[in-house]
Amino acid sequence: MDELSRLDSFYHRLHPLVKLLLTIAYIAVVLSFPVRSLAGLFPMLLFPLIGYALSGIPVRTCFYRLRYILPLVAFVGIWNPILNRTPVMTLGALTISAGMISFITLLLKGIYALMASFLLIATTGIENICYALRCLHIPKLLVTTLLITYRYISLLLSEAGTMASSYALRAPNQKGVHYKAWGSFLGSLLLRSMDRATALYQSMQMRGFSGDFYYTKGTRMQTPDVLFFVLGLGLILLVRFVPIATLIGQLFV
Amino acid sequence: MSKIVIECQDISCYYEKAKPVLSNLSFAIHEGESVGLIGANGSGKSTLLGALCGLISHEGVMQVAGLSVEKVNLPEIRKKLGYVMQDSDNQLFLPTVYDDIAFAPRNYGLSAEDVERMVTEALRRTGIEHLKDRQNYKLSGGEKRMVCIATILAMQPEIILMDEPSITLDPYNRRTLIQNLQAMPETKLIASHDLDLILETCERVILLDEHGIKADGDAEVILTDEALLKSCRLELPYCYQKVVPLKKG
Repeated sequence: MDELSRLDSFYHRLHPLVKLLLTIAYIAVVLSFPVRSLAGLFPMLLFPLIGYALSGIPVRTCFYRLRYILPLVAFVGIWNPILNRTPVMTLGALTISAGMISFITLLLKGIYALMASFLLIATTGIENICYALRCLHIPKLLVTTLLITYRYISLLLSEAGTMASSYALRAPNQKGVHYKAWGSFLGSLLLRSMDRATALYQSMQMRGFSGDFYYTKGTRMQTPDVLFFVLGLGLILLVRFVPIATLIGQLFV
Repeated sequence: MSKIVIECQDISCYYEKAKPVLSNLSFAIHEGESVGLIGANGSGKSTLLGALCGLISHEGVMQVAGLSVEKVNLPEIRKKLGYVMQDSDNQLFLPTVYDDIAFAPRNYGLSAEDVERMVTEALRRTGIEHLKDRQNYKLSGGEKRMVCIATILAMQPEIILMDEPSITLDPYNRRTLIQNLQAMPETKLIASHDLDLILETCERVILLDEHGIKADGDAEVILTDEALLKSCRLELPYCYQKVVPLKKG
């Protein structure tokens, strides 16, 4: 993610506050769609697609990086088609139930929210996001906690990776970590991560950190930033309140 | 005699009660001195360095740069003290080399121009200008080590503490480090098992053993005393060991 955030594109160069506000507005609008408003939700894909096109980051990168989270999104509404079988429409021989519609709606909402969040982090970087949050007067403590948590997650993953490699090297015939070792593995991982987190914190203290984290100094907002914000917000609201899918459908009737 | 910048009187450090790691340690280091801290594993070298930074609690009187090592003085002490940790991965936590080296100058509120200047200078002194925009996690062990040293140099500290600075360095980088250390005017306290490095960079050595100071004096005198070193589970530096002739043919 840090690597992606250092690419250079129009979208990358936008002021972090603009990107943060647009992302929040977009997610809020996506979540505001009723459970069965599938037709209204489709055009909402436009905003992230424009963002990805402007940033030069392929959409497939987002799906690839989020491949472990996406099944969880599907899991949220997985019981809907089973619990609610009321038929709402038929497509040839296929009857579509209300549960199926609500499941797809939830799925789309989750995917859109993830796509927008990924775009924000991949084009802004965590330090700049924290700077934007401070611009919104989010308490320093919360913002610093967010930043340090983000950094510590990578630490935890790196420790887990080292331990898994060490385990695999001494258990070559085994696939993954044996369930009997899970307890001690997780315990060791926790202790090692805590040790490293303490050492890292000490290193930060030794270099002037006193709970007040340095954030990337933001540049002043420029005219293109304001214009993009107005256009972006306009597009999001237009798609929310104008039934574009219905209007396009009427053209063919 | 120049002024004293590090002073310890009857210092003791504990991880467990009744089991001191360091016991009643007393010594003083003068401004500009380069002191090697040697001793076997577990002799308390890293503990002493940690205590000087205020990271490990201690008993006794400890002063750094004229300030008593206690909570209220720690921010001021840490401005004057640079600490290169034993494990580079514990010291580097930002995405790029530049960001990590700039961390301290930025934290101390320097302007963007000053930050840039200090980072460039630290990179130049350690000979790693080419690593400036590299990502920390993609560096080799030796490169990380040099970046750690650069992060400290960018603070322009008066006193530098180093814990095993030559660990993971290849011969070329080790030589660069030795040359850098020799050229540094700052006061240095270097904990290391690399006795050849200590011999080349320090005029004085403090030898730790049995929770206390076994010897404190001229580096060349202590590092050539084979009996003393052996009694502390150490060896003569390689340069003083018997040279094995190369096989011919």
